[in-house]
Amino acid sequence: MYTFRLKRVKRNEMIRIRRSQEGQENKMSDQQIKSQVLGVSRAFYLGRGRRLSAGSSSSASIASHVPEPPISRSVFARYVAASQLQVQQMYDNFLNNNSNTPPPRPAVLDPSQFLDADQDAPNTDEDVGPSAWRFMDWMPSQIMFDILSRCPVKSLVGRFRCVSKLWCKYVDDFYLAIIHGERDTEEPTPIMFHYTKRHRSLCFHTIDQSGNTDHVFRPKKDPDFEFVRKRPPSRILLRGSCNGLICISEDNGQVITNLTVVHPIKKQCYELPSLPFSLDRDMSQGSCGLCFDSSTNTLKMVCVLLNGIPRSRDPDLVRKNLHTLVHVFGTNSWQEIPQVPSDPISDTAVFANDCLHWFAAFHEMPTVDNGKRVVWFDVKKEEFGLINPPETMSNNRPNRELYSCFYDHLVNINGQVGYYCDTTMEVWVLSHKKEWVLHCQIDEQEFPRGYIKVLGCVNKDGDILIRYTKQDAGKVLFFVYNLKNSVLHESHIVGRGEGYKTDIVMFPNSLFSFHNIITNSSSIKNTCRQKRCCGKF
Amino acid sequence: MSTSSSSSKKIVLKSADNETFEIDEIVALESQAIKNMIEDECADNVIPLGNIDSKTLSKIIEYCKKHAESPKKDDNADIDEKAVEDLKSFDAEFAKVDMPLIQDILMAANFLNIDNLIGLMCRTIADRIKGKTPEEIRKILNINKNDLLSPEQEAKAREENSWAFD
Repeated sequence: MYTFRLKRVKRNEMIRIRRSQEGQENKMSDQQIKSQVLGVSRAFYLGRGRRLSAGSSSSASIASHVPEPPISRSVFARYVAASQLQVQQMYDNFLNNNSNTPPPRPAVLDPSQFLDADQDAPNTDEDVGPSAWRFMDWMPSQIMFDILSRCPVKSLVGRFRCVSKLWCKYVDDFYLAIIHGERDTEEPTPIMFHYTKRHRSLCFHTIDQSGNTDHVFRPKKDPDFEFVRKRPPSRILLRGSCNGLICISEDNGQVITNLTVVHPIKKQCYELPSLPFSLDRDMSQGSCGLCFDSSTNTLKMVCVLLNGIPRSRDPDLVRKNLHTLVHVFGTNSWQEIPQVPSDPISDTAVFANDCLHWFAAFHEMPTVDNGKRVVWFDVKKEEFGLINPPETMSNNRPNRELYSCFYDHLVNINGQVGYYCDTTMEVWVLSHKKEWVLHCQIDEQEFPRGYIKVLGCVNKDGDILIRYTKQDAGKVLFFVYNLKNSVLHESHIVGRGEGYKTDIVMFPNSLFSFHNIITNSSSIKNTCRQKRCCGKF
Repeated sequence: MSTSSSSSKKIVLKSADNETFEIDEIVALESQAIKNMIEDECADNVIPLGNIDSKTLSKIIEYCKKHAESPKKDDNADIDEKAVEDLKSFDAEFAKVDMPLIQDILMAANFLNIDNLIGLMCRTIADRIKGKTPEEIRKILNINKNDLLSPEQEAKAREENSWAFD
């Protein structure tokens, strides 16, 4: 696929440049010719190639995107002739020094045999002026990726794929998903989901945004995607997301029987191999987390489980029974790594800044003053760490004695880890230096008696979406908190009713999908195997 | 221009239509490709740029001059806010040209390896094609008509991503 494209780009580039350069270079010295050929190629391979692959190394597909240098026909011909002369001289020297067995003479190279072969191109338009160049004919793939990575996902997948066959290939390229993700310019999109009766299935709806104000979520009538349980009578639950991919578990009421990752927008589904250890349904002593390892460009599922012992207060005994299991997407097994966290983990994971974050599991009932500590796992370095909860200001504490950190939770706040502290109704964000920074404090007057869940950011400004469940009536309301003026707006979901437990998940508008992962997996698998060979059990 | 005295080294560039441009070395160094040539001592004579016409080349020199004069970001942390704003408005003004010239500048910037200019041109093209229909994009960018998807393929692509089409 790439060979075809690069060859085509190169050919057309060469024809253009050839035409415009011929006649000029007759005056150039051999030294200049050499410097042009070598200088240009060096500039391309070292300069541009290195810049764009920085940060996302080691994928074989990236190397193939480095464009060919444009060299004119006559420069090339003279370069070949000069090289030919050099080879001839070396051969003659060899003959003079070793008289007995002469090797076969070097073949005579004709530069036209390389160039003329691709001149029978069917579509070489006759306009020679540079302005008449056809955009796609000369555009190196690196430039195309640069342009497309600056466009919104909606334009890319909805419209740009239809522009031409070549554009379709560009948009579907895994490399574009990576560099697009690095630019991080997208506004997130809310996606509504609800369960059907007895958790048989989970339906995802995109929100109809035509003529929409910020505070009305109007789901499209039919679900975009319905995930149906595979092994009745199991139940389905949503377990966090990463790059727009959503992790779903099926359980038999006690333990999780299997894990699946779905892309609700692209309607894709990826089933993970069954877990070698059992994972409790309530995830109070073990959990899983979906993450993207940018050092190997792979999606991974990381599970930390406490196996074999009932709730114990002896930290050493607990640590001995912890296991960390990693599944690399595209492979068919779980592999245990030697690193384990200092504490068991619980609840849903949040992936941000190359790290997975969970709450450390409690061994006893929490008190009001405690927050929950956060266990992190650096996916690239494969190390665990522990962070204390944010130190909330006691004088900021509203009248919520009845509440404890039981309702604290982690949430993705525009690509950072957020901590919602229920006793003070504060949202904290973990900075790059692993320090907590206050994001906002929600006015308790608005939410008398009820449970609050922060669902994520609705835009790049950091406005947050809140789900509020009234304690007595069990009614669910949604609010958007405007960060700039600290005002809460009630948001309505219009036209819901066919399912129950309606909720919203913020989709970060990324180009990630599994098909790319799996088709690219041959090169990636090798890297992982090398990285992991010492850590198997 | 007052800072660059006549004593500083000059580089001569020659465009495809045989027009020569004499510029200060510091301006030429904005181009990684020319920088490499200077380091390899291949830039003593006129540097022929056989695939860049004089209109494009003069635009590129205008850009390089402005950026060479402006203080670099990594020079010191407390950089003049005004200079940054000034450069931003220059870039915005610079990009207000028609699409064929943008493509020529982009191709030339890629050839000369001027990172900032490649970024600016890519951003400009992205801004102009955002939210446009496939037909409009084909027209704006003069896409090769031999490479279109068949009606069935296009319908399939639309069906797969119907959520993004409204």
